[in-house]
Amino acid sequence: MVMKNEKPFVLSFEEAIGLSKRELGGKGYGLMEMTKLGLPVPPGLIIPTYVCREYYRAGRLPKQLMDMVADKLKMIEDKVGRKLGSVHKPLLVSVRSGAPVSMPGMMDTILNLGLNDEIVEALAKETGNMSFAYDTYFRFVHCFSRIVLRVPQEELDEAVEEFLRSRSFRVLDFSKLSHEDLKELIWDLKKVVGHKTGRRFPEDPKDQLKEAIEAVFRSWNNPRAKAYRKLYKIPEDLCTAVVIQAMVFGNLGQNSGTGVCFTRNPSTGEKELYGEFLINAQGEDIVAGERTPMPIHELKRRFPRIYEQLLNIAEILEKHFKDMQDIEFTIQEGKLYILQTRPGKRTLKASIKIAVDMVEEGLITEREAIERVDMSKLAQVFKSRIDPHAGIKPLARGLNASPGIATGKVVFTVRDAEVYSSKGEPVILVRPETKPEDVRGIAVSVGILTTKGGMTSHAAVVARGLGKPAVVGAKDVKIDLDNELFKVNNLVVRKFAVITIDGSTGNIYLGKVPTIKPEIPPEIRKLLNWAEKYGKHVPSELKNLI
Amino acid sequence: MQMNQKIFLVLNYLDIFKTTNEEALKLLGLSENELKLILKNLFQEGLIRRTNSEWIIEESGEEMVRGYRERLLRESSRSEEFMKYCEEFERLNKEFKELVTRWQLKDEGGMLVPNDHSDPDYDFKIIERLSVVHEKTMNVLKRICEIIPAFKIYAKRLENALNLLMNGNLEYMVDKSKESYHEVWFELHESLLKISGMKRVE
Repeated sequence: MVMKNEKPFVLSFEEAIGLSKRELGGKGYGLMEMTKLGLPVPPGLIIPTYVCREYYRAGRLPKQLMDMVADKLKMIEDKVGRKLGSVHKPLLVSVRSGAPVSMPGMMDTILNLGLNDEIVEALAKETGNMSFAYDTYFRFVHCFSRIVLRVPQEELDEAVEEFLRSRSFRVLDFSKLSHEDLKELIWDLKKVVGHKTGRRFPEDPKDQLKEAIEAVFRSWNNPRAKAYRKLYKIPEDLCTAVVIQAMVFGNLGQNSGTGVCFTRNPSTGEKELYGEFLINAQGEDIVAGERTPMPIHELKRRFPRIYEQLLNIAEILEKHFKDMQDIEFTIQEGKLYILQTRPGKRTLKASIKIAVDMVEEGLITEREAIERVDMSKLAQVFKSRIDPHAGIKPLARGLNASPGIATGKVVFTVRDAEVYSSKGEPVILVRPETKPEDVRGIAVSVGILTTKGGMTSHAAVVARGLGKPAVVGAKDVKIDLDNELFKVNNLVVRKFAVITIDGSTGNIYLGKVPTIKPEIPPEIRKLLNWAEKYGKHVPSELKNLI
Repeated sequence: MQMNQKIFLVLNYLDIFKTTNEEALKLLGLSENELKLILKNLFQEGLIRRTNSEWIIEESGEEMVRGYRERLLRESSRSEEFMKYCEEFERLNKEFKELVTRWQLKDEGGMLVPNDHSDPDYDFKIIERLSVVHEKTMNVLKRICEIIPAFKIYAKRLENALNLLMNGNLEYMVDKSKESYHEVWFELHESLLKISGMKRVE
């Protein structure tokens, strides 16, 4: 077994306390921390990333690994009072990947592992819920065949569709299949496996577990994951950890469900739970999008106690991680479990509010707050806008192809754009559409107006690339290139007339239009004050806005 | 002066952009000597002229390249097939432009805001989709190059841009100052439109 000083190949969540994210992977690290905090996390094991490195070095799983897994699994089995492979109270597990850096959806996950023809019957008897047992079994066989046994998804889907057709079901009626139907369908899937791989579907849960662990390791090097690492320069030898965790079921009926939520609103930064959930479903159903999830506040109505508990957990997690979290949870027969936590993605606006609020809540310091917001990008978000109280009506309207406001003299040719801009005159290039030779004109103009084309037109792409405001596809603007003018109804606008375009709304105005500074949320002022206090550079465009 | 595929490539480029510096022409895959010789000959024939550091196409040059395009297609006796490929390219072009737009603008709660590339997942999905479009494009381009061999350079340039992009150089998606995927694509698209006579659909 493990020698002194040798790093263990498998650890329970409790044993993993103190290990780094680099060793445990993001998912394992989050689960370990939550276990430490005493949150309701289903028990589980982590195979650290260094075992994956060893797998790649040796070209196979370490010899002792499965014995060690079996050994540690006993702890889990004792804790939940279930046993992997047993027909009496069987244990099902999930086997999930988790790299030290976020690689969303790149690697593999196998759910509901531990079922076979015999055990599914035991599960059905135990729960008194045939549909649940066979629904779960079907999910497992489908997932395992695709990911571990590498049967192409289309072949499996085809088998499913063929079956539904033979029963005159429409694809959408899939959820209405009886357990007898599912039984047959599972049989069909296994036939596909036999046909495609030349081997039988593994019935022994221990074999299933071994193959699943290897599949997760293998998935570190799947083409998508490799492409992702190449793109973001993630080191190849970081490797993935494997998390083996007791399954909890959100698909046990109307008193069960699954969901995802942010501890704060990721687009505004407001302090509120934000997310969605599905009743009688497993996590993958939310991602699959075949059923429409309910907003999280519905949870408050349906499961008020769980909602309160979730609020409380959100608070604990934020206090611990000192950041907004993105949580996955499952409700199994009225009991809440947390399956994952990680820092939540957010908009720039939300990142400002969250950083400032967290200082006020005493979670982070002022210095930490300014480090969390990318000042260089702020000026992009808060742009001046046309003064709505000036009472100036737009002349015409096109598509808001590239945000920002530009005021300049109308020119119709690249040559004029070049000549007058070189004299320091701001010009707006007005063209029916832009051709390759017009690009030079766009580059020297302060804004672009076209009468044809849509959001994906060449003019729009180029203007955005250069950060110039653009209004495109303004159909009511009729250009007369010969006479160097354009008309809107009866109004004539000649070369050198001053116009203003608003690339955020698509409006076109005659003359210079008064603009007002954007409404700057009070949080930004605070943030800028702190930035100055600690000598952090604030871009001048941003200072000008205030 | 006898037109050939190499001269065509240079004149075609000038016909699209009207005026260019020599640096840009170097991307067409000709050796430096070849390029110098071609430019010298075109200049002597009065098909292009020069101001400062820029080469500019003359009307006679435009006429010449137009004639050559027609001849190319006629002599290949595969013009119907060629048009079919161009239509296929148009379909890919539509998808490509949508990808570029999503790359530049992000929908944040119904508001279109510039993509600040702070969400790797968002960008990766676009690049992933681009590599699918790229593969399809390569297939069409391969057939097109059987008819117009000079365009092989576009396959090479697109490959190169995609490769740089997928190696983490995000500016190779659309930046004007780089030999980005969009820049090469746009040039290829214009070249095809000029031969097929199809109109640019904006």
